[in-house]
Amino acid sequence: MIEKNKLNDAVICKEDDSAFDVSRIMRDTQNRHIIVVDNELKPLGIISTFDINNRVVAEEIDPKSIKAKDIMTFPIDSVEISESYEGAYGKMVKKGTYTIPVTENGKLIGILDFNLIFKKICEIEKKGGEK
Amino acid sequence: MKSVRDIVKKMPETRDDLENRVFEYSLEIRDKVEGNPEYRNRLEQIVDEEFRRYEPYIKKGVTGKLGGFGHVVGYAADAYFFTTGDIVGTLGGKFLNLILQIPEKFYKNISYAIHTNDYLAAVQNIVEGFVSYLPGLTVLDQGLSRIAQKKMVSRTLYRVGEALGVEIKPWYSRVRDKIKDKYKDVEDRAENIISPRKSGEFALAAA
Repeated sequence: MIEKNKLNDAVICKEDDSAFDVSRIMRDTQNRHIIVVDNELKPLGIISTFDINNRVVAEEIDPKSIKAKDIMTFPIDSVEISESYEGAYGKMVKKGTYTIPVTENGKLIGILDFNLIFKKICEIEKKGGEK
Repeated sequence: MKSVRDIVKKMPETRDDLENRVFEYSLEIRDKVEGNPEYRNRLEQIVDEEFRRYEPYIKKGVTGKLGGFGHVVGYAADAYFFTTGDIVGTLGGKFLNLILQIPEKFYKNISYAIHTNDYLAAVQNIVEGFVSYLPGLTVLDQGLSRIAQKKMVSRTLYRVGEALGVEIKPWYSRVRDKIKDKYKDVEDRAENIISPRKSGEFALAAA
């Protein structure tokens, strides 16, 4: 089971936030990705700086007139907190990503990244060595 | 530069770098130290202690230089893999990388674990070394010196914060402090952060 308190923070926006709001949030948090959630905090999609560039700026769209849900990449994979690290690792490898959102009863609670999986492997190795 | 990762985020290599990192981390610490000689002494004492503790693993000796050369070979093998797709040829280059990592991954790592009591980081370093053997994954091996640098920074910040009674701000507040003079209307984005350490309901209510 994935440990909740070891997860990383997730930067989010709502599906109805404008592309302008999204770019401000990404700037203010110095993040290159943001997860789009609905009102129940269910992850719907992801927006990267790449998406802002390609789907808004390069298309000459007014960033205040287009919503996050219209420029996000979707659907995105996520794992439930009750799943194993191996399961999460499998999904990340399958998608070729270094991070994956983690949910609890469908609600986003954080981000699991490769570093944490490495640490878990280390802890398992250490426990094995002590025994 | 000791690691290719330093291109993205450079870590302290000298005692002065470490002190500057503490000041960069918190303007409050800087203000307190500049306004009180006692705090200055306490800060210098902690920075000296922590730098001495990790210094042998940050400065590269023969083992570090061998490891560094191994990484160069590893990156070259990865580049070869991405351009040609030749896995067998790539593994040849990666094998040389693996051999050159042995002195650091074992001899120096054991010394690090005993000296700092940080056995977890030592095991992490070894696991990263094995994983980086896979084609294209050399970058996942950050090396012992970078692991030591990260530990040194986090320990120093924690100790200085505690000694000076400085509140440890969440990362997004520190980011805001850092960029607020660079751009207009920079805001603290606490409402856009879902943290496993705060409930989802709180985040939603604040949004």
